[in-house]
Amino acid sequence: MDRTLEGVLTEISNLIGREYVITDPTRLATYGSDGFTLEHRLPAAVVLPGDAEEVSAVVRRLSEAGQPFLARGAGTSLSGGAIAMNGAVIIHLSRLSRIVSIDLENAVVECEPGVVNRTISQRVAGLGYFYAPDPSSGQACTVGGNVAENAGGPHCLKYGVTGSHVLMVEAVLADGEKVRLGHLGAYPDPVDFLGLLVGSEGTFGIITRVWVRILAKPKTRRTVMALFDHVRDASQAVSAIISAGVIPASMEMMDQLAISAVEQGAYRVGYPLDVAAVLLIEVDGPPIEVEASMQTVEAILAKFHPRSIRMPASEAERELWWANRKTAFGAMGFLSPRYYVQDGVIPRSRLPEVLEQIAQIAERYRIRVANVFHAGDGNLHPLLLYDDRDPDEVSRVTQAGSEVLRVCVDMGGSITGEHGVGLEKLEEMRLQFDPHELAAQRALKASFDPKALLNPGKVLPRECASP
Amino acid sequence: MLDTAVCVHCGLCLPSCPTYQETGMESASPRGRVVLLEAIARGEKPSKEGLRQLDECLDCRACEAVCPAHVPVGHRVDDFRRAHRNWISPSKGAKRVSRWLASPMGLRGFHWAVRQSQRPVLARLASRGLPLSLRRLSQGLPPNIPGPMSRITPRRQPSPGESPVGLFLGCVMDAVYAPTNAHTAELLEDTGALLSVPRSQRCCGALGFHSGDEAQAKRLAIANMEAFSEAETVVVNAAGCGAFLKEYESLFEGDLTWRARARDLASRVQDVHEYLSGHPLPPLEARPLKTSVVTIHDACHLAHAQGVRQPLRDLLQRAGYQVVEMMESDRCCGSAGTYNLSHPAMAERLKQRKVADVPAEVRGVATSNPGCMLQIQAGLKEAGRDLRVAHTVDWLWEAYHGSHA
Repeated sequence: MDRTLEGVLTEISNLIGREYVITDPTRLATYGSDGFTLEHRLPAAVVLPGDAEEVSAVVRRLSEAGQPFLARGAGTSLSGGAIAMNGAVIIHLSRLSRIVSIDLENAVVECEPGVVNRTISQRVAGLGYFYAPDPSSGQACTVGGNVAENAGGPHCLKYGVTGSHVLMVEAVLADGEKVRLGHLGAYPDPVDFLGLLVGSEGTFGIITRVWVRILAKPKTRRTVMALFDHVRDASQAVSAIISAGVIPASMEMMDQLAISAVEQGAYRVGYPLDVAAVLLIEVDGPPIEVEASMQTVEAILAKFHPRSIRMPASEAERELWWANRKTAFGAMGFLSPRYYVQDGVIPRSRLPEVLEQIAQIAERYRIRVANVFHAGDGNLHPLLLYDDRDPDEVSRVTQAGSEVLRVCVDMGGSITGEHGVGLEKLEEMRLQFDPHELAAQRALKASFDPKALLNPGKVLPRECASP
Repeated sequence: MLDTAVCVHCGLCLPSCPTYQETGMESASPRGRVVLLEAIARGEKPSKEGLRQLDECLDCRACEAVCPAHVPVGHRVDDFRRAHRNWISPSKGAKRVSRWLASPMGLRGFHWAVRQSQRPVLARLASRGLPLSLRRLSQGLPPNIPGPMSRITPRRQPSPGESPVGLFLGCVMDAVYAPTNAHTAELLEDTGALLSVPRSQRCCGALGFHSGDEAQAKRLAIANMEAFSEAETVVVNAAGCGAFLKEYESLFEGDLTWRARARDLASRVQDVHEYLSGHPLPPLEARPLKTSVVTIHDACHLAHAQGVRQPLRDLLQRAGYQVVEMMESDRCCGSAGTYNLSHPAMAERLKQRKVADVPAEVRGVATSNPGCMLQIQAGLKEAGRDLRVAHTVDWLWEAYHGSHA
């Protein structure tokens, strides 16, 4: 058998159809980046299988030829998870986009990995259900990628991130074998292989089917928006609300620079442009509980000198507030040609001081930083703005990003909350894990993928000195 | 207009793009097209396959409507097509049709030809020489296209000093769907509007512009700005025309006088649904509707380019219709101006996808652009489904004035 790349691709063409194998450099260039734009690498080829069987067959052939490969969904990764390093072949799963079944009795939706996140909630909304994990890119990002990255979202404060909602997964392992991990029962397996796969960023296997839990829509929901003249007031209010024992469904914050971008965008709320921070808080559940929580939230907000506190006049207005918040990253295009978003997590009580440190780092490196983040769970998203045509700025922005992550780790937090390590935070892994811990992770990776073919160059930094 | 540099690659546009939905390929997505355009701007010569996927853009504006940074991908692809006409030769058919429709005589000729195509013997003869895409499309023609093109006489002429509501007739709209124009006029007068239908108006110029003829578009734009200079409001019932009339300004870069006049016209142009939903209509006819359950196909240049969606639903419901929503009602049907002539394969796929989305329980489809009406009617007929596709205004007119259609 022909084991050159060309030979393997010919075999794959015969298998899945010639039109679903892309090797033309012009078209490959469109796959050079995902949502992370500091890196651009041409894949060796892009293949688009039509179902799980084809994925398995494709992987088997690539694996036999020793050809590295990775899965890609909508390519919205903010850490470069879907960028092909080492001349890998991209397996684009956009054609696996069917919702296979909706089982209301067990509240489970079975779907292929290419299903768009928001589609699940849309499909079950009429039945009184919703799918809780709601990444801000939910209108585009796909379920397979959500599981691979263990994606979060504004409403994960109360409901938990993707991992808490995935019951079972079918995946193709590095040699092409198809396995099922997890089960449809209510309790996790004694050995949690599913938990290993969730958040492994495509380095352990390629997800070909997902069974997710859906939840009954909350009976009531109240949203409140508070505007502040000082970021410190807003962040202290966040800590105070959680300390008071209230767990809102979500608690989001945007600062002045971020507001200036979204207010030019597709969904304008009409925020005053001189306000320092906005907090968007949503409480849901049974009416009595919501009422009580809301009173507490409002009382606490009032203590921290808000300029104003508002409720939406209608469901349409509430949706507008959320659309405005969720498109904030894309709206950075109004401020700068590129952005580099960080994803550090800190204990929420340290929020005020960390935000001040980020501002100092920005000043030191002469870059502009907008902040849009999940304040409730201490997951920061400083957006470091840069112009990719200015090499000096690119290097300043990379260093500044690294320093922000160091601050997060020093505060007892983590370098990533929901965007993943990808190829972006490779070096920063060393900030969080010592050499022994990294060695253990490498051993685990090797047991899943001995030939190191799956999503190469991601998550684990190169070994330097032996531990 | 914004620069493509503001695309930050967030990817939120992908699922909105009909060609991405169909192919699943990044290179046929809005973000992929931005990458291709950036490469071309740097002086790289794209491959034939790359060009083909770039040119497969429908200019449906779905991506522009959802882009957090308003990156005008459709406009950019259009600019590219005009700048590199030798790279992508627009289909001869599309060019010829647009040139035809641009002059009053050509329009009469088009009208004559369309009518002749309905005479059985002639149709068979003529269709031999026609490309498959045109033959397919002619399946969507309404059964009896009336002889004289709409010559609407307003109930009352404006007195000096009075500002009338101008009615824009369109070219394909007037040649194929003249009754829709008559119905529009009647409903406008029902609201008490003082109607004016200037004879000197022309095709809006969009078809020519999109197949590369900017000079022709400018000429037509000037003619229309003159024709409607007196009108307080200019009501348009064809989504594509409405969107283009609102964007005349971009044709006159560097020409301050015409730019100002284009801005002035744009401020007066209103889609017919916007206008009617803001005005009182007469009491409804007592007799029941012949067809009462309908679905809506949101025309791209109405929903995405002009942001008009709700008024169609409000108007139909006020008129007593039950609206059953179809999935992704604002996904392009593949008609897209002359796209179904220039890109028959992709247009065909999108037509079939659209037809499959039309709910089983509805008896009619309401939409608001002549291209969509033709395309979806043709698709339904091919699928053996006996449903009527008509302009929202036609459905409304039947409710308020009884059906003679």
